Amino acid sequence: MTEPAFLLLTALVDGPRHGYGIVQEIEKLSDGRVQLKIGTLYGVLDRLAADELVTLDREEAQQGRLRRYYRLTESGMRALEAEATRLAGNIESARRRLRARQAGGMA
Amino acid sequence: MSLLEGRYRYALRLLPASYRAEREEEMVCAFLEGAGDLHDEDNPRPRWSEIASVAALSVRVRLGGVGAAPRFFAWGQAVRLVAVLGLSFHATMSCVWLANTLKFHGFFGAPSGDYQTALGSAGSAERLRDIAQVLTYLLWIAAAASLVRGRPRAAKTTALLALALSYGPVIQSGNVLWNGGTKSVVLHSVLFVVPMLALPAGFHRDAPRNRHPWWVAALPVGAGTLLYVILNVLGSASMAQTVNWQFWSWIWPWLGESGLACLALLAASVSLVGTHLWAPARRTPSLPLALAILAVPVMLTHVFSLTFDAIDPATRTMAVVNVGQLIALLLSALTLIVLTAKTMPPRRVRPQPTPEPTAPGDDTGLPLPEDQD
Repeated sequence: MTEPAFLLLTALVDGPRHGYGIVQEIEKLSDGRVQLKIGTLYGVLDRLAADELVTLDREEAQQGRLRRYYRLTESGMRALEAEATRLAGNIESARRRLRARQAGGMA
Repeated sequence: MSLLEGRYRYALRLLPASYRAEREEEMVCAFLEGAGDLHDEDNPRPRWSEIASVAALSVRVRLGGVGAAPRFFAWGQAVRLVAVLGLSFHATMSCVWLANTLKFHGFFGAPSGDYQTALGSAGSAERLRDIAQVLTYLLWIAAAASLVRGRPRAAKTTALLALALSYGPVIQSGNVLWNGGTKSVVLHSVLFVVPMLALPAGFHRDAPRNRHPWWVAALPVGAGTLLYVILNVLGSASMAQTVNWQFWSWIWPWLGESGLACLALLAASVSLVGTHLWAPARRTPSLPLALAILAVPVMLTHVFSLTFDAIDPATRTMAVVNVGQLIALLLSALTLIVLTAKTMPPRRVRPQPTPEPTAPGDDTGLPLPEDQD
């Protein structure tokens, strides 16, 4: 799973969001590091929707403009959980090794 | 409509109409929300990075991968085939040139004295160029094998490196494009351009990952070895003490890089027409389209090679063969386009995504984008 896809799924965990809402949430989640362009956002959304990890929740009119809200599906939730577990495992391995190295260096 | 919105909508025209019918309104909404409060007097424009992201999305949609509409998927498969077939051709030719270089170095018998003299002493520029050329041939073979084995990222890097290295000798010798001496380099480059563009365009993130067995990846090496033997036999025969110039001048134009590419394309086209006529179940729009695309650079090399000032009969015959090849390629490309048109899935507007039933009270009263047009 790519980082934008992971962040997009994470952005939808606490509820449906529309296009710009997702962009904002991803920026917040990544501490401003990932700023998705609109073309990139919809590329990722298309792919996740094709894999049935996200789905259209509802449409709303906002000042005469179309807002489509997307939400996580059950399989999206499972995919995100699996990816988060995998990444957490990698991080734990890296931390363990760094601790061991630091302990070795101190000795 | 504000100036910024108009300009962003203009950039969105890079996307296919069917995609815009589905997405344009929400993309515009998302973009304008992010753009903030800008006035027309400030002459606002979408940033280049925004336009680039739309262009990249357009390529991914038009050259569709898994889950794309059948027509876009067919285009995507055709472009991926262009990359695979183009790189395989360069890998095959690289095998021939590599075997030739090894032969000069004495790997298959005595080393060539003339070649060794031309290379000069150890560490000379010619020897470095020789090493770079061998490396280039190996990189083309590796790039084609990586692509067939389902590693497009490795293929892109390797092919790019091979391309850069293949221009090293040109830069080193101080030649300038369109200089008289570089005509062959330009002709050679024409054959590289299309597959090198097709590689990143077709093998994007959504492209299907096909991992073929090793024997498929080794096919260019096998074909290159066979071609080397055939070319050597023909080369030896054409260099005999008594040569029938009249006969060989009909053969030589087929033995160069563009001649072989022409031969391969014509053979593939004939086989494809046969398949179309006698095996309807195996008809596909992607292969004829890929061959038609590949025919363009091969035709260009023949156009660049046209000569109308041949003085001796052998050169005149070769010029006639060149024109014949060009006409055959043109007819073949037209036939392939017809076959593509007959088998290509029809255009259709993507279905509107419909929200799943929502709780009462949700504001869904906005007309759908296509109704707004």
